[in-house]
Amino acid sequence: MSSPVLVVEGVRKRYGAHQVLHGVDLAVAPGEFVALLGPSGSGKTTLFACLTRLLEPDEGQVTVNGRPVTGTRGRGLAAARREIGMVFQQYNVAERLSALDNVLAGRLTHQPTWRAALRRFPDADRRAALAQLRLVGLEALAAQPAGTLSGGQQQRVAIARALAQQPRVLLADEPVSSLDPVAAEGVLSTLSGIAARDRVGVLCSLHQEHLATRFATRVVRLTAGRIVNPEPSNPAPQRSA
Amino acid sequence: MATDERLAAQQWPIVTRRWRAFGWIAALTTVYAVSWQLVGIDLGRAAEGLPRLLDWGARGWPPDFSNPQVLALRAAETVAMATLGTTIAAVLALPLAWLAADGISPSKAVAVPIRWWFNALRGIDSFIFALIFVAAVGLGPFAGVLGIGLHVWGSMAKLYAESMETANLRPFKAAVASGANRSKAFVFVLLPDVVRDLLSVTLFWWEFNVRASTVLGIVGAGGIGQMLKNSMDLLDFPRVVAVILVVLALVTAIDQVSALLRRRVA
Repeated sequence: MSSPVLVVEGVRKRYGAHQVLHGVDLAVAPGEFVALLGPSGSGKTTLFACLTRLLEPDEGQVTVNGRPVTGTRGRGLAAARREIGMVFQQYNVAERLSALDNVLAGRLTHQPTWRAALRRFPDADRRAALAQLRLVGLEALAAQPAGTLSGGQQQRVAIARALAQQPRVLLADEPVSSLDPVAAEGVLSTLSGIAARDRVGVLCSLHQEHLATRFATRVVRLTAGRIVNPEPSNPAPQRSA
Repeated sequence: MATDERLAAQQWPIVTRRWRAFGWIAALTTVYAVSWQLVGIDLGRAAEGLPRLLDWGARGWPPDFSNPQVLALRAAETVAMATLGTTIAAVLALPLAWLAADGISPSKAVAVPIRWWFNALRGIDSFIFALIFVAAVGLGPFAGVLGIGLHVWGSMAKLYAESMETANLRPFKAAVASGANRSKAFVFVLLPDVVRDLLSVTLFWWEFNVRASTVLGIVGAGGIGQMLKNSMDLLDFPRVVAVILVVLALVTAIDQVSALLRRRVA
């Protein structure tokens, strides 16, 4: 097993008097699809926000592909964030932009500001963005405003956007909870395909047990702010005992 | 005993509320009485003045629409002032609105002083700015353009910032989470999403500025207001009535055009 691409050590977060994360330890290897199960309110969204530092964790370290995410800022933080693709529960696509422009937003981090302002991306980036849309089965809808697409299609645009970053880690926070069962299976099989083919480490929170066991290579649980009960079949390095 | 205490505790707010109501009524009465006194309201003088007004109105009939090309030119000057002033304000407002918008600005340290600047600009009316610019750059519409531009810069930037803050910021945050800096995320993701709202705000201010610039002539900043002031000074009532009718027609037309355009961008 190759060394983990995402390492989380002792991450704690509290809101006022309410301790949400009690020291989370977790590691994800390249090519793994780790499902994170936990009831709502167990802190999954807080954990994901802490991993990209959209929320500041109170304590703990996060490393992606050997780069520290915690304890850095400015360019260092941007460089670490570039390695992490995020997929959100509510898709978070810009509704008035075309599907293709939404995917190109994933390339923003690799391009200078003037290109963003003039909306002139290099041809290589446009081709790569189209290829990502093809991968998620939406090439034909590239020019459509994202707001006119169905929920499942918007979520696949969001996945394509995350992939356009060429990340080493993909974090998906309840990516299928707003989708019908058929769309949900489509999205999850896309994610597991990405893990297997591109050797990206995928961490995906879910609340449906059967989907987790069907698509994931490993299942972990977040209960009372800690990762508990790593499945015995776990082949990956696990720092917490 | 405990029940009595609870009842007393329940009644207490009702009593204070009644006292508070008395306090409000007393305060409002004082405000109106003092204002009445300060302004020197004299209903007798209003009664005397009314016949004079009616007399002027009668003498102003029929309105004097002679030299229509001059009337049209002054009206066009007014619209031109408003259009250029609004454009200058919009160009200056957009970058500052971005820097001041909560949750979008790259730096809180610059956002706060920029918001003070907006308030300073908003606090000084375009009329006052025009007065200053007439002294600085001379009589004429150019002073009016600068006056409008400066005052509306602050007002427009404030509304721009509000449109940005109330937009759906999730795609913007997603771009920031991917490692893009806030300027890139703003220009590529957020701006296209709010551009229609910004256009609508701009049209509103254009319409507002046409109305404002009909008055600016009074301080010598050109346009149809200047014509109104000149005719008034000469007690040329038929001309005054004609100018007022042109202003009404102009403002109504601009309102219609602006409403139509805003419906199209919405």
